[in-house]
Amino acid sequence: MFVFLDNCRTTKLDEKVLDDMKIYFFEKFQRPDGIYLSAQEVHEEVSQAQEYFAKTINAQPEEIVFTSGATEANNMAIFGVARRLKEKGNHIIVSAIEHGSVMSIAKRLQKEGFEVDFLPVDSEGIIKLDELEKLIKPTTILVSVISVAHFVGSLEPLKEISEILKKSNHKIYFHTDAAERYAKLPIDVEDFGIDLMSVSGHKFHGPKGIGFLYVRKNTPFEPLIFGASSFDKRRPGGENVPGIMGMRKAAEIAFDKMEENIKKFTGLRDYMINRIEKEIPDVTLNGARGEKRTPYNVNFSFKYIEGEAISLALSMEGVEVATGSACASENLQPNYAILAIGGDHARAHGSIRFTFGFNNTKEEIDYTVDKLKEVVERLRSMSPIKSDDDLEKYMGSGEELHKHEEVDSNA
Amino acid sequence: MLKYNELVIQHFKNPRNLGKIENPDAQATEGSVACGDMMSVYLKIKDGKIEDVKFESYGCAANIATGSMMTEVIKGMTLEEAEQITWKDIIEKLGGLPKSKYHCSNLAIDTLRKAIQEYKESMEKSKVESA
Repeated sequence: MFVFLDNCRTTKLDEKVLDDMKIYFFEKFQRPDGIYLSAQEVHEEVSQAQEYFAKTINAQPEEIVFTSGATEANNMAIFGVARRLKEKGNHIIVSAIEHGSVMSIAKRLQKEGFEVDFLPVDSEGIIKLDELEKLIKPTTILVSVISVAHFVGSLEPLKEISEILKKSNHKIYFHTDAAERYAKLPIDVEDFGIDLMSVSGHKFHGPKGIGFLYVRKNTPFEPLIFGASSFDKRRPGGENVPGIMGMRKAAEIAFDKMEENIKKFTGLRDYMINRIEKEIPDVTLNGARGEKRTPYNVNFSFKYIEGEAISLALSMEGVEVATGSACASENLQPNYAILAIGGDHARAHGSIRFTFGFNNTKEEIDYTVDKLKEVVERLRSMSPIKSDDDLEKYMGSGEELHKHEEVDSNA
Repeated sequence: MLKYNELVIQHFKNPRNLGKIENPDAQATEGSVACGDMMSVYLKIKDGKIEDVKFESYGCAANIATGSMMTEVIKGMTLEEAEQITWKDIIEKLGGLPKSKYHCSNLAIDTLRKAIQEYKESMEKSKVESA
């Protein structure tokens, strides 16, 4: 059996989406900005797609800017607002559990002279609202908090955040990376008080290389990319029309089934959590339980073993998952989200993330848990660490990580 | 996910010489949980030769595969021969490792050398004591 449970990273394209996209590769391949009739037709359809996306989040069509995905949307939103408002203030707040995309933008802004604060989260991965209040100052121009923590699956209190920002004497813009929320759980930009929001098509069975940024009207914002006139001057360049239309189809399918999906995957999530907790000893659930967790994420740390080995062994059984282990990361650092929720290095190294796509089934979850049991037992039998006493004895400081880098870079 | 070659995957799937030796002549544990990899090596030594070796691993696939290969290489060697083995030899025997995994091989060799060193020290000590 093959089971893909890394749907927070990407999803399989829905075939119905591909059927729709084909039309825009062959029949209607024109760009929307020509003056001939075929281009006008494409213009009309892209405009309708823009209207459609706006409607799904209670926004206006002109507030939707198509991008190559959520990474570009994040760059566009954060650099766009920050650079434009630099004279008014240079303070930005981002949560401590942002996706790597926003994290690296925040670090770049620090280099450009911005002051960046990282908003801490509680043990469930939910941002601390009281800390947010304390961090706000007269120079704060932008706050960026992810909609659903991509690693531990916590739902962030978007509305409560915007309510705090509205209490300030000056305008503070609110951006959210909604890659893990859009088309999976409801979003209302008016009700939630969101000014900018990033969305990615391939997170909900749409095509890769397409996404959009919602930008509230009158938000001061500077484009990232300059070019000749096109469908949208905020983002020039050849429009990815097949991508836009494919993302629209994927969104339609997702929104049609949203309630059903939420119900189904809440059930599957809790079923999987229960089975793992009942059948595998010495596990820790990472993130919240119940309503504070997205229906599409399960994340556990397995004591005494390491996640890269777990995920590789699982993939040999046909089950594909993600891990927060340093050994699986390029920079050999343990997952910062696990550290942010108060976990230690061992909990980060032993963490495995299972994320659902709309196509996953109960049979697949059963197969995954069955294989997981075998893999965890086998790896534990190999490990010199058998108990919490061993863990404590061999914990170390983590400074050896730097020694690793030396060996690897000198080699 | 990093790319491992077929031989590395084989050693990860079926590690050789895995486990513990009861009453070993030498033993060492190196690495730490915090940095995500750790190894224990157990040696049975007779007439200056490594008669048996076993290892345990807390770590990634490369850690397990390098431990497995290291034990296979040194089994039957004299202590002096075993001491000459380097982490680069192990990588070569495995047909290569991703660069970011070279330290795993280093850990396997470090643990082995520590075990041999401790064995030699305990031998010296017992010589002095019996003299």
